[in-house]
Amino acid sequence: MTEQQPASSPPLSDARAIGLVHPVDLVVSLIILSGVAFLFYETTQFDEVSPIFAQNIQPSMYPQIVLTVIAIFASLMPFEHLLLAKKGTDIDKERRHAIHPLTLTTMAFLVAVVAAAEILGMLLTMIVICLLMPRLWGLRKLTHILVFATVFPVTVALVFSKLLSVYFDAGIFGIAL
Amino acid sequence: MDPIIQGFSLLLELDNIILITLGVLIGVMVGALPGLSSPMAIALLTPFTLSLEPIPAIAMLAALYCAGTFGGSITAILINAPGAPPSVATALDGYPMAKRGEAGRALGLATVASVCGGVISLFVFIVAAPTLAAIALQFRPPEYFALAVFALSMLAAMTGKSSLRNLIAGGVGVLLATIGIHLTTGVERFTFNVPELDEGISFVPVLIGLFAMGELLSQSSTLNKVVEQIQAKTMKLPTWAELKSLRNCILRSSGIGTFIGILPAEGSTVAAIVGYNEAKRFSSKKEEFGTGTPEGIVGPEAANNAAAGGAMVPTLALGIPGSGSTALILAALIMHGFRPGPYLLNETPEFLYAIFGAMLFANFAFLAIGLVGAKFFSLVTLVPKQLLWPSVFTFAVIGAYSSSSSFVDVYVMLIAGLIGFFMNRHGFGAAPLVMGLILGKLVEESFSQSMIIYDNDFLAMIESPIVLFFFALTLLNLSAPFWTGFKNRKKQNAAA
Repeated sequence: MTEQQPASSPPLSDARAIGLVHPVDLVVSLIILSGVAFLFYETTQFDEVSPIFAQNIQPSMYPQIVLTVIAIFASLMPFEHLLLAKKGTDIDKERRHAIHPLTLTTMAFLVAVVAAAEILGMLLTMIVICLLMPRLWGLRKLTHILVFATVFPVTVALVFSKLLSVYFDAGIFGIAL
Repeated sequence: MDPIIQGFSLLLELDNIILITLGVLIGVMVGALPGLSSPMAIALLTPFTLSLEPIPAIAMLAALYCAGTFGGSITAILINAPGAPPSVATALDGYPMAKRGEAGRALGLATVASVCGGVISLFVFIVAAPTLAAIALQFRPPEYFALAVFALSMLAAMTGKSSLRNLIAGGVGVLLATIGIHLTTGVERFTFNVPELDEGISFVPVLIGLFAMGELLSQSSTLNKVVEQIQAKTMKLPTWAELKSLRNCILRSSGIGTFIGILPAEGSTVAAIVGYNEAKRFSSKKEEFGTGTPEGIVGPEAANNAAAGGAMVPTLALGIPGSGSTALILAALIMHGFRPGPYLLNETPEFLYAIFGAMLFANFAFLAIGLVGAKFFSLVTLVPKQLLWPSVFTFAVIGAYSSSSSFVDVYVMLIAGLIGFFMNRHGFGAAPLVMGLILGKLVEESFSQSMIIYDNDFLAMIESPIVLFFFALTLLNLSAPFWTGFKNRKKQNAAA
């Protein structure tokens, strides 16, 4: 997912300058509508059951109603900023600036850790998180990180596996408490 | 009398007292930490409560919910950074009072007002919930459908930037609830040949992803934010004379908070803002608001804690969540095998009294915790984010995995987290989506049953006055943003 024109939205005071259609909301609305269209198509592929068995309510009927409602609301989104500006709500506050590089790096880190979790096993995954994430987020004190990455995961694993009987996958290295 | 004794006997068992106290401690700590919230804590804790007996587990979560609302006021007062959204209004006067050297007094006022608001609302809860449940027992599927649609429409008025986006998020939640095998026909819907989706989307990973991972990603861009912390050595309880002078404000705000809490989807944040505004409107010293006036602290604090008790009324009596946090408690109830709604209270009335007892205990526990540990909880905010958020991520991974010992749930959690981040960025709330997810099944079941009853004639449903009443409220709700806009425009034109 990529962000569209994050820096171009004018501040609240200039909201009228955007015009009738809010460009970022238009993109968001189109993404939602595409999703709705795809899922609506998907509902047409659901198996049909005999009317007597379905009691006249086919399994696709309800999702189709919900998708239609979402589509109606989503199509109003590009114009909503006109109403929000009058109420003094700044819808662009969070997205005025581009996504912080560290946020993108963190996303990549989360994806990598979760992808590796099955291989590493739960204990090693916890240690990797506690070792790398503080460093990634700029903590420089290596001793603090090492103590944290050792004590915290082991304590959590002990408490959860022994006291709460939570099963911890050992991964391909077979490391567990 | 039996259910009352059975319910309260929960508090006599040491294990349960420890669990509830733990819930309170986690709640206050989480509430005090900016970025962490009680919905997030409930989402993270829920998978670990699944191995507990249902009633103590839900009681623990209810205690956490109560305490989390209070915990937010500590950081709102000491560092002007509300630990939880309901404490936003408390910071307006709490922080200025703390800044002029009266941090202990501000904390004392906030605590006493929170306890009063919480206790008053709990007494309303204990009377209103069974009454409402008894009325709801008369509801047939069409009435339930209309009520659930009304609850979903209340998302338009939920805290957040945009009513429209709340409704879209709610709709997406309802749609997510349709994933899996359709119960009446056995047809697979939106499973995309993934066997793990046959039983539907599991609540736990979605909740953890939306509330914990989404916030983690948002926090990564605020690492350099420096906050000025005011030291509070001890909490100073208000004097009797001061309490007497604030009595009306506390009672009024408690009433407002309880009422707002009872409304489906409305939560503590709205209650706190209305409580603050009303405290100002009725005050003889309006000009002192924003400079550290006691009414500016007790007004929102009594209201936001009262809303917590109020929100439990529709949650337990109707199975309709009163707020984002109670939506999560409802999800936990479902995961423990209960079907929330009037039948739950009818068949297991001791459940109501156990929750009441736990929440009452929580209110007095945070008074004690506040008196003894306010200084400690204010120090919690000094934990570096670089250590705090990896801990949250760790708990998120374990929580998602342990719910069904499946890595698929960890992937679902991550996807929900990424979606949650982008939703938040574009003004869509996580809480409306969760409420949609919880209400989705109820809406579909009651809709299908209604259609069968009325032989697919949707309009025939309106013959029922209750259905008509809820549909009228729904229309009013959905049109509210337009007519308030029209009213504002008229006002502006008149002023010009």
